[in-house]
Amino acid sequence: MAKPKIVIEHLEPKLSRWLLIEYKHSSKIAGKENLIFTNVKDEKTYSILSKYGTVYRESIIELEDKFSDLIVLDPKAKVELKPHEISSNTVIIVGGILGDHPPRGRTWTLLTSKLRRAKPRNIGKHQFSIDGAVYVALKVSEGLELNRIPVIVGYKVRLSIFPGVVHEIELPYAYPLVKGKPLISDELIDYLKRGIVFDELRELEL
Amino acid sequence: MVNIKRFFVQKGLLKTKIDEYLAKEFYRAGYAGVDVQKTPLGTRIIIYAERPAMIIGRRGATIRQLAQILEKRFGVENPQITVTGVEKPELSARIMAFRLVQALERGYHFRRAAFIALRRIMEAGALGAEIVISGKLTSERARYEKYRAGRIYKVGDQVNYMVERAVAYALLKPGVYGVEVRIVKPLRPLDEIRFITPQEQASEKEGSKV
Repeated sequence: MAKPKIVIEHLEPKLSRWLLIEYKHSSKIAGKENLIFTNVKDEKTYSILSKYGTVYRESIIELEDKFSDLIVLDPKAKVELKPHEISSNTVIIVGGILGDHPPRGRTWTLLTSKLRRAKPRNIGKHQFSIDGAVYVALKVSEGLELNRIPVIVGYKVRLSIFPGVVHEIELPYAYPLVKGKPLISDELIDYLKRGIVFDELRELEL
Repeated sequence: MVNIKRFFVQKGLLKTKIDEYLAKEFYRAGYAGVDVQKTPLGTRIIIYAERPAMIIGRRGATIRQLAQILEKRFGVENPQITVTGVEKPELSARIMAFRLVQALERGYHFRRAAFIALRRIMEAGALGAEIVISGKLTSERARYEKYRAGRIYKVGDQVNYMVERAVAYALLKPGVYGVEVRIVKPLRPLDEIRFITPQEQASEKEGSKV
C-alpha cells in the first residue's frame, strides 16, 4: 500500500533546534519523498528543510486546490482518524507547532479553521509531538485502528549533573510506543541532556 | 444561631485574600506569609517578610497605606499591622519561589537559577527540597524541569508540619513560567525510628534521678 503524503505546515516564527530535530525525525519516519514542508518563508529555513523534504514557501491554505483529498490532524477535531479514509492520494496535514501545556488550540486557530476542504481528524485527545503525529498517521494509513497503537502520555528524561541533585525533564505530551519504547529521537534526548551547555553557549553568543 | 461553618470559611477566605494581595504587592520584599488574629481592640495582622523595611516604608508610609487598604477593601476592623523578619529565609518556600521568579525576570538562565536556589536551601539545613519550573522554557516546547535534593515527603502526616510548598509565576517574553518550591524543614519525620543505646538509656536514668 502506497504511503500518503505528509504535509507539515511550519507555523512557528523561527526554526528552533527542537523543532528541527522533530522535523528531521519526521523525515526519517515518513521518508524524504513523502514529506512536504509548507509556509516556509525564511530563506535560511528553506535551505535547511530542503534536505528533509519538499519545501513550499506558500501555506497549505493557498495550496489546498493542488491536492484532491486532504486531512488535517487536530486534537480539537471531533472525529477520529480511520484507516479507510486514507488512500495513496490522501495528504495528511500536521501542524508544525511546538505545543503549549495545557494546549492553546493553536492548530485550530492557525490552520484548521482556515482550510476550506480539509477534513479535521484527531489521533486521540492528547497532544502529540510532530514526529509522533506523523508516525501515528502512517500507522493508521497501514490499516491499524487508533486504539491498537499504544501511546504513553508524559515522558521523563533523568539527568545527574551534580552529585546529590536529581534533575528531571518532563515532557507532558503523548508519544507512540514502538516495541515498548516511546518514539522520541535520540537527538532530542541528547539535546535535552546537553541543553545546559547549548543554552549557556547561546547566552554567551548574545 | 451563628453559622459556625460559614464563620470559619469566611475567616479562611479573608486570610487567603489578604495573603494573595500581599504576595502580589510585596514579592520583592521577600514576603513569606501572614497571620490574622482577632483581638478585642481590632485585628492584629502579622506580616512575615525577608526585608520588613520595604513593607514598612519611609517613616511607616507604606504600612499606613496598607492599613487603609485592608480596612476599606477587605473590611478588616481596626487593623494593627506588625511586620517581622524571617529567621532563615532560605527555609521559606515562598521567599525562595519569589527569589527564583525575580531571578528569571532579571534574565538569569532558569537552570542556573534553580540550581543556586536548591543549593542555598540545602545549605540552610533543609532535609530536602524540590524545585519545579514549567512553561515554554527557552522558547521551545512547554515542559517541566524538576530539581530534587535530599528527602522529599509528599504524603503522610509529616507533610503538614515539615513541608512548605509555594507557587509563584514569572511573566516573561515566551510566556508564563510556573515556579513551585517544596522545602522539607529540618524536623523529625514520623518514619525516623532510632534505637536508644544502653549508654543513652543509662544517662537518661541518671538524669531522672537528679
